[in-house]
Amino acid sequence: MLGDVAALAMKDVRIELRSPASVAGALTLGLVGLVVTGLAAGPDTARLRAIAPGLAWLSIVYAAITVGERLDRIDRSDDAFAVLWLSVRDRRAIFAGKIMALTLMLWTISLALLGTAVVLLNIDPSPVAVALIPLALIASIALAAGVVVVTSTVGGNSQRVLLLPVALLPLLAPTLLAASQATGALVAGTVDASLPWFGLLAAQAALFGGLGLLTYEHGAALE
Amino acid sequence: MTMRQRLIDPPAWTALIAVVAVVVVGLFVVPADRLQGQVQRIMYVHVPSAWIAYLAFFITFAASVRYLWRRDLAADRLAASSAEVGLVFTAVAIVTGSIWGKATWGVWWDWDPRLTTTALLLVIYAGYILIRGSIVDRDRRARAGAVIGIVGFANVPIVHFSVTWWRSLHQPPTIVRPGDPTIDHMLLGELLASVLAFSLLFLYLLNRRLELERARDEAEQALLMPS
Amino acid sequence: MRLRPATIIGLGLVLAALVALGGLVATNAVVYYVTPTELAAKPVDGPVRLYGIVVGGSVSYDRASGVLSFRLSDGQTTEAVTSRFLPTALFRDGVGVVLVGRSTAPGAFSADEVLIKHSAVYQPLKPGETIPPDILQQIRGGG
Repeated sequence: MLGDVAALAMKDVRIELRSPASVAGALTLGLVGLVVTGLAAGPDTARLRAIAPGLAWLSIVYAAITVGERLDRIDRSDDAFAVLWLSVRDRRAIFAGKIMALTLMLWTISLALLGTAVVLLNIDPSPVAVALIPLALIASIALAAGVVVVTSTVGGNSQRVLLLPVALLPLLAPTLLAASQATGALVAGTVDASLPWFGLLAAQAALFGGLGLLTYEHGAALE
Repeated sequence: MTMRQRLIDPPAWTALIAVVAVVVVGLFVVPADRLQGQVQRIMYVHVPSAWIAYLAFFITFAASVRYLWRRDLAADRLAASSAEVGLVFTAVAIVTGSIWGKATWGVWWDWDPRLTTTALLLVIYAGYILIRGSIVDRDRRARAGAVIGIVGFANVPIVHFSVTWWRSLHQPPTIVRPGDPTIDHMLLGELLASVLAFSLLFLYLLNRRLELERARDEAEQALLMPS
Repeated sequence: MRLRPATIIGLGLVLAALVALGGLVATNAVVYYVTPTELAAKPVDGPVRLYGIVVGGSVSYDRASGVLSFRLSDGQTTEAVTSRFLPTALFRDGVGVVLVGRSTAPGAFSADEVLIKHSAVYQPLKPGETIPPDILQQIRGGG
């Protein structure tokens, strides 16, 4: 099954590398968000720095939803999904592969956005901010799992670009909260304060991933 | 259902009379709390609404599991109906809680864990209903609903135990706790009676909502397969 | 029922999530507010929520400036609190309050909000008993 998972993940990564519309779009949207909020917040940079982690992670959550939606849509075009569905040994490999591919993309997006925020907002990060790299990975897994669980069941319907965020934002709220709090703590150099949030993110990732493995075959079947 | 049938609908009358009775007793018969005064009487609406909201979402969860397992459309109808009625009770719990909070805590709203999680439940199940409404295919609608009903319910234990788990502005549970309830027995009697009355109301509304869902499925079937 | 590896992994993950959540809760890692003792041990630079009991006889109100001051205790440590927020009528000696504000100096706290955390004890008035007087009404000279 692991071979299937890796092959399926590579398929999505290769599609994205050939026309990097999702990652590039999500990154641009995040940057625009940071810059525009910087203008709206005015000259009070302290206030801006205080809300920056939340703002950055909100952009990443949106990126997770839009990129996840696009991956699913590509699969469903030209009946590609039917071929996938019928050709793998355990269909949950499709689920795991999709999470792996989305995680890689979100990890890239989140590190790029967090790095840009540090530069734009003149944040002088403490050395422990290196821990943002594993933090972004765990948060990306949690976001990817949550997005794939829901997106894979909804099917291709015309309103889903609007409705997926409505359904997913509240489900992903604990991830958003935990990632923002941990980022704030790590940038400030207080590792202790970030640890429980790491735990919460891991719990969220495990819950979404576990529920997804249990429901995927029943929830995502062909029309 | 004709007008006459509606007038002699016994479950409706039972629920209505029970709710009116506990409201009258709660407002005029039982004494108010010595410290909080009259505003404490809102408890007889707030607490049952919150309980029933959780119960309704639990029913949605259990019915969603059953649907995914057995592909039983009756379970899906139950899940959808219960979520919709539960949403109404959640809204009532939040509004009455907000009024109670303004009078006792001093604010309409606070980002307390319990309140925050209940607000999240409200939006999760609003999303559940909107997503269902957007999916035309009957089986697909049921499957997407079931998955969201299961994943969304993962939040409910956090809601229920957050009072005990996190230190919180919201008071700890009054009845569901080890030892003697910390409520006067007369007030407790009225509280339990109102939980019962609101449960009757919930069962009635759920039943009517199910009838509607069944009728909708039959109509869809009839449209798909003209005889 | 035949359990395939992915099903077992799925069940294990859900279980692990619940255990992790329980562990987080047990360590009190995620807290909504701190107590005066915790604040004294680990000062917070910025907005914080503080919970304690209003010390009996410590409440005073300056009508000219509209500033309410009282002392807040958790049994070990006491904070001197000032606020312009007028709490509800439940505010009295010995009541538990959650303050939203910040430390201005060690042992001094400025509160933007004074929220009453009322207990889960519900009792009617006993015969002949009157409602304990509204301390704010008294302080402000009958309003």
